[in-house]
Amino acid sequence: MNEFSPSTDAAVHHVTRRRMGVLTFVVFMTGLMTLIMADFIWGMPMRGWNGVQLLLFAVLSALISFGAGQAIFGFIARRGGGDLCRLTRSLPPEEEPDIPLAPTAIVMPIFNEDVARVFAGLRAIYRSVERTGQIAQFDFYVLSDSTDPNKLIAEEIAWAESRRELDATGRFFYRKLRTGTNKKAGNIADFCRRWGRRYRYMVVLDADSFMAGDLLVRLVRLMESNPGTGIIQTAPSLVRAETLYARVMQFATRLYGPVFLAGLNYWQQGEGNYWGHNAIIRVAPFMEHCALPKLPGREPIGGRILSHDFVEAALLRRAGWAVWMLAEAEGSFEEGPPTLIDAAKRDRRWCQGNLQHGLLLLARGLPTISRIHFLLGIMSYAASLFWLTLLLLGSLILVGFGRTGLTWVPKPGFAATLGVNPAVQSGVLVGMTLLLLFGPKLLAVIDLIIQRGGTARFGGFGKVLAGVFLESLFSALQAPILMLLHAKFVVLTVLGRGVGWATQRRDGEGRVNWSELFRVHAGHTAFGLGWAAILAFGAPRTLLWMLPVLAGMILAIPFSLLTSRTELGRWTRARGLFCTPEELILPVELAEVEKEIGEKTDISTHQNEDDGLIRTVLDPYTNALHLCLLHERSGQTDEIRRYFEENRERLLHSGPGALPAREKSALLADAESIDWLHRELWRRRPQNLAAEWQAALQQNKKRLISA
Amino acid sequence: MGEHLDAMSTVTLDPLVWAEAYERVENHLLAYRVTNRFLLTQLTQEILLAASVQHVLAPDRLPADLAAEEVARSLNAWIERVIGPSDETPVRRTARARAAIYLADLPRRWPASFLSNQSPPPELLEQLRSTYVAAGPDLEFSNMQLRPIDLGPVSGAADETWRAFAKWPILHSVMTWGLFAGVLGAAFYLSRF
Repeated sequence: MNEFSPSTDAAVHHVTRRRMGVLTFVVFMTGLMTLIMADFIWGMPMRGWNGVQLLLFAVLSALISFGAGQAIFGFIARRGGGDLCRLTRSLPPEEEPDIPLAPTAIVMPIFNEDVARVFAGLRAIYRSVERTGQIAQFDFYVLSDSTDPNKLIAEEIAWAESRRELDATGRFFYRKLRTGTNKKAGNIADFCRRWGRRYRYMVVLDADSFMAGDLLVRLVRLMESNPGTGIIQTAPSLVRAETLYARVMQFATRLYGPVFLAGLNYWQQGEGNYWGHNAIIRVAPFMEHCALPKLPGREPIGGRILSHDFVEAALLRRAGWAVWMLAEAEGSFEEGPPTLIDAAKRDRRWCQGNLQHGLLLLARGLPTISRIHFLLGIMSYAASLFWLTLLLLGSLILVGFGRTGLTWVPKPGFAATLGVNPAVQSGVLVGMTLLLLFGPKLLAVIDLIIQRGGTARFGGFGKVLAGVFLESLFSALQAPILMLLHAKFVVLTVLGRGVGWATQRRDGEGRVNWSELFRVHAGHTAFGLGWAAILAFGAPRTLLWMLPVLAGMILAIPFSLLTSRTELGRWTRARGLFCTPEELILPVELAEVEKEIGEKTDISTHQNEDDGLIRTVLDPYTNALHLCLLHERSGQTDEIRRYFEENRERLLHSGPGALPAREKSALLADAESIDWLHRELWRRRPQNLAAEWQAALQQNKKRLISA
Repeated sequence: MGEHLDAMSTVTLDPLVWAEAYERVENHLLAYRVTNRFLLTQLTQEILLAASVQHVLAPDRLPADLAAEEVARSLNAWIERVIGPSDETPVRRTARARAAIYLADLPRRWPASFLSNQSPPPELLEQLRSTYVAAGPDLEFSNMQLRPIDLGPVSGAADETWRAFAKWPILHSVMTWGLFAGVLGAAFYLSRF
């Protein structure tokens, strides 16, 4: 174990001091704010409710103080050449090129994704690694557990074409999981069981993420220099945003992210977290310690562990392996959700996954910091419910006072004896809250200004300021909507309503329709209007205070609609607003992805339901590729054999439309049937085939002649 | 060629029937991306000639059916000759060969070699033989054993509660209603003074 291991005494002492520093800030701010709040509400009647209010306020103050503290310490750490304890310091530049690489697998689990985008990204990564001259140490795996037949066939074709184009025989693999188990975690585990022993490291990518070759090579060298490290997580930058929503989020994470990430790294050090992708993992300990058991009970709280990444990091930490974050590395990218509704769908999954971690909070043997990661994950969603309860409670109490005409602070608090009236006191509280919320943004802007050419990378000082101002307005409107959404997700999950595993839309295009908008946001508008009406009736002066929160709810539909527009995203881009360094100077890998996506279209989109099956039966090459990737089944019973014989005959004679989807999927997974169907289709007279096949033969001919 | 034409002339069937055979062979070859008109015509004719010989031996069979079988036979013979023998099942071997043709980009790079009786260029041979389609490298199975997590007493109690809810859905609903009633009661109480 070297100096970057979290287990050495010096490291433990050092990191403990840092954590105490952050915690002291949190305790100080929370204590101060809670004291002012306590003094403010103590004079009111209904002590019990005030107690609840105070408790919620204290918890939420601690949370926002923690966020602000992270930013402050991150800001400090970034000064004077950066954090002295960052992982990259373990790799002196003069030694770096001499460190030999070890066999590494780049794995990308996919599930019904945009095929063109997935393979464009992989090709760009492959070429980028090739340019480093180290391609011999890297193998690429596409690990599919897609269920949509059209997607499956498109994946096979795209894989074969990519392999041919890259001349990557023996280095670029595609594996279809016949029966998907345990989603992404199961998909990765299957890879580990089959091929894990061949590799010392694996880099896990998401379907919409990619990494530069230089960074991949560097990650392997960092792992080689830090033999006690199990995972190095990179911090991906959001890229390829098109809609207004995605562009604002991209701008915000890119601008504010470095300061927060430096702060996160400051206190977590080698006890970091794993975010599920854009990370390098040491395969052997991962296989030894990270096969996830099911949680007791049923989903949504029990059952399969959805957010497996946090748990895997905790299990590796339990076994003594370090988990680092590479906060400052460039060359790690991912795409964000294009609209608020897409972000909400993703958050619903993440919310369920994080709440599941509640069961692991008190699990025996886990390091304290891993428990804190779990707790922070839970609180990132539960906090919305707390904010909502706090605000509702406050409103109801004030409506109560308004209705009866009673004085709401009959007994003066300590502040009153100092001559501070309640209005000023509440103003101080609001001011402190706003400072903790917006202060970190200010620090991030200062951090950018201090850097040489920092603001120029975002389009100039004026554009940065305009962007920050508009983004703050955007956040103010979005926050109440997210609060309602997250609060609902938490309640639904606790009540036992789980979520399906819908594929995230990753095409960057906002295509929110009205019915979806109303379904998602009508409740928010109604809730906001109802709340405003009650305040207008019962406590009109409070309405003014609550207006920023209520405006977001009331305007949820137009906000969601407008921010989902690609045209508005392009409009802001044309005016230099919300620009990020990656937009202004496109990295090579991104440029390649853009070019390839422009050239190749996903053949699985805009298809009929049966096009994948038709192509597999008809086209000799698609058929061959599919057959090669299928397992030949042996020992079929007569009954099963008859089942396949009847269905394939029906498929040719009556056409794909005559067969239920289940039967078609079964045929597609049976090597003997796929071979038979192809031979028989070309052997039979077209008159003896269903009209769909005749049309497909004609179309195929036309397509090939025109090509 | 003249010899073949003589053989064709012995077949006394409706030209429309042979036109159908011609079209089916041509379509099938097109599906293999034989798009060069000259090569397409040449290969189609060769296959039809072979089919006509078969037709002489089996006059009760349709030329179009015989021609379709001849495409498959020609392809298998070509694979056998070019790629060589294999231990795999015929289905798997043909599939791998077809995939190798595609991955080697044969129809575009060596169009004249497809189904040709002449020896293929060494570069093509190397490409075809090295292009082995598999989901991954040789398997090296490892055990990835589940690691139990001792969740502690609180999680155990929570688990029991969930099980109780799952067992008695009415209890679950009553608790939910109780919670809702509590929220309403709180709202009522808070606005009473």
